[in-house]
Amino acid sequence: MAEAHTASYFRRQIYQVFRRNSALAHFLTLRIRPAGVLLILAVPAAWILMPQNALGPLFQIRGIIFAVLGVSLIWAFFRRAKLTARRELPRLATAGEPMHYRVIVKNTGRRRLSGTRVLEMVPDNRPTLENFANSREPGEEKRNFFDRKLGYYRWEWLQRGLTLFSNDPSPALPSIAPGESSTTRLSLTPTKRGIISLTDLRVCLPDPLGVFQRCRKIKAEPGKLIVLPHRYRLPDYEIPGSARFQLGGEAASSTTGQSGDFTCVREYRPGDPLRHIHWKSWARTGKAIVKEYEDVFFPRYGLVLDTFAPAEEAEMFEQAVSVAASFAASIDTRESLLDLMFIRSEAYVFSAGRGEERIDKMLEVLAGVQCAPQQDFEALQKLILRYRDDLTACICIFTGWCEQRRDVVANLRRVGMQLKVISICQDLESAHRLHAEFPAPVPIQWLRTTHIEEDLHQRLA
Amino acid sequence: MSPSESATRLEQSVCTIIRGQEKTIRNILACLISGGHVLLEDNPGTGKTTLAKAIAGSIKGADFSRIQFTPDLLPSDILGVSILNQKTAEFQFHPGPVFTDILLADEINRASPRTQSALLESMAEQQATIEGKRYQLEGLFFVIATQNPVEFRGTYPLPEAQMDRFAMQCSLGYVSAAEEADILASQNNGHPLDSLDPAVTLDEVIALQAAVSNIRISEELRHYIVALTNATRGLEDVRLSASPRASLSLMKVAQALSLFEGRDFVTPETIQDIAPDVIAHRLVIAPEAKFSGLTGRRVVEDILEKIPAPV
Repeated sequence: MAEAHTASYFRRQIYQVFRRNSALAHFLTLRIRPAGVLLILAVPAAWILMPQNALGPLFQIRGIIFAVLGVSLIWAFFRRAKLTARRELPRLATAGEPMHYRVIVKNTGRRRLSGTRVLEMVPDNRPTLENFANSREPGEEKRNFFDRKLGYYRWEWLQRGLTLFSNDPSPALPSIAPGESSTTRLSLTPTKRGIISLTDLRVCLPDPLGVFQRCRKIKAEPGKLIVLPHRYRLPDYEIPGSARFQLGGEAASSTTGQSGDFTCVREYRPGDPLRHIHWKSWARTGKAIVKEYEDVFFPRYGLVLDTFAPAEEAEMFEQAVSVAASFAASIDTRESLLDLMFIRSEAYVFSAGRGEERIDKMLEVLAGVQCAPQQDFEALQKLILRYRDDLTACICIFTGWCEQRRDVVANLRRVGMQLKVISICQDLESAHRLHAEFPAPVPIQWLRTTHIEEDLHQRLA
Repeated sequence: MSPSESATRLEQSVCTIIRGQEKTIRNILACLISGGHVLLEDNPGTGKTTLAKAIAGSIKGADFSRIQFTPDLLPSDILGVSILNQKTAEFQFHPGPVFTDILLADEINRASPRTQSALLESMAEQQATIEGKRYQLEGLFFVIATQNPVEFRGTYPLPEAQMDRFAMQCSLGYVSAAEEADILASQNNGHPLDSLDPAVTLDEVIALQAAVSNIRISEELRHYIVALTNATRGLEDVRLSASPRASLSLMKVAQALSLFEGRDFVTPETIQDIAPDVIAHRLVIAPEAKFSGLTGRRVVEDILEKIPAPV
């Protein structure tokens, strides 16, 4: 309740109105089918036209409408269903991409069920009072006094941000006899990266006229889904730098043994493993000869994500994560190594590639990455410099531009690191102004939050 | 003893060691007598090695070898090597562990792809070419390869060509609590493997392999199998589809499974039951689709739903 005191009385009242209206709208949309909406809208129209003659067709139509609404409402109210369900969820999904999964529904009741649908409920997306009172919709200052005061657009914007996924009900299930099971397919489109918990599966039981429906919760184990960041299609691009010997490469990819490519033969030295003896050379020369292996050379890239975005630049940070995910997914990690680096409460490095983790694990890390609680560009710089000798090149993705970011880039350049610098900006005008104020020693690829893919193709190709 | 009786005895013998996995064991044994190889993707401690040993122990006269795949494993460690005998000044061939009846390739994805590929020829043609000389792998030559589905650090995913050599990929998974309690009770006084008596002879298993080809499969079912594998081709989300080898494996495993079920003909249900295990691992899903939750298994299940089975 402490949060209630941070908002004005008016704001609290408005919040309660929006909250209740949202709950009512949710309740009704779940239970009134499209045909029902049409019929309900026809009621006032029928009243307004008010026929003089009780035998007129309009009067009769009105009577039919009322009869249909009444019968449907009572019928829907008495519909019953007892079901259990099991979701067959994939482990991963991607923000903005539709994802399909199966649900196996079992009728544990005593009645045969027909014409039912299954619906995955979207978790409550209503913001808290504190969130509503203290947030500002982007561009809210441009709205008129009434809209700013009332905050309806802010409410809508917050609700959109808190909606984890959008979905539709399943197609109508076939008739299910008591004790029998049926499989249906559901699809949902996650709207944001992170973890989605699916805990509320419902069965929609429409009345025979298809006007109203009853919604009953189905007994089902909760499901969990990791939603990877949205990714953009990248053009063919080049990263500067060259392959080099990797101490953390193939030879160190596991706890035992050595590996590498056969390069030459040499005379046996005490301690050489017996399995490396080249018997044909021994036969030819009469001396013990062993095969020599050389460690593999391949590129290793750094992918630096700037997590120092203030709360009002959350959208820019989301886009930075998406761009980082796009690069992670596009680099061929069968032929290279990729190190994701970022700072949160501490420094994080996550490697993917040959003998390391798979790229989908890196995308999972990006699915959960959050803004750092405070800016610490020095820690970020130290982290990158720690890996300087191993890295072929570094792709730095910044959220915005400022003096500290410029200094990081300048210091990395000074020690000879090959860099590709990308910065997310609101618009090019402000980006160029910032760049003029804090000129960078390397070209910066500016990506506007609203035109990321277009800018990626324009600036990377 | 009839082939069906031999199959049942073999199955029962393995099931006394590995509890609560009847369906998977039957599928794996069907894979064995169909002449295929199996890839087990499982967590550590689920009984993969015990299963391989139980199969070997149930077959009288069957050799069993195990290779622990590590990054420093060389192809010669698998196939064998000719070593110079300095007394006779001649090369002497020392066969590798691949020359066996039942080979457990443990954690196969821990070795580099070139070492994994050393098994390719052996698995496909039951022979090994070593230093230009061809050696026939006599007897059964059944490969049970394992890999850990969770840990990827220090692993090299199997090349697509290698995956295609496995007739099927399956998983034992964890048993129920009751079955786990049974396992504890059964191993209280020594391991059941120590007292396992062979149920069949090696010759009987080879006869079983020959009997598989006598299991009738109708023309319609052959077309159905081809339709299933064909349906994986041309799908937008599938980068590499099922090969004709997949169709062949599906037919043979379905025939072998029918033998275990005591029938001398294949039914559509048998094909549908085994299809995901036989086809899914061969498919390479496009990254975008994979990151949206699509799996090879899901693709096969969708195809099975779409293509009506012959009545």
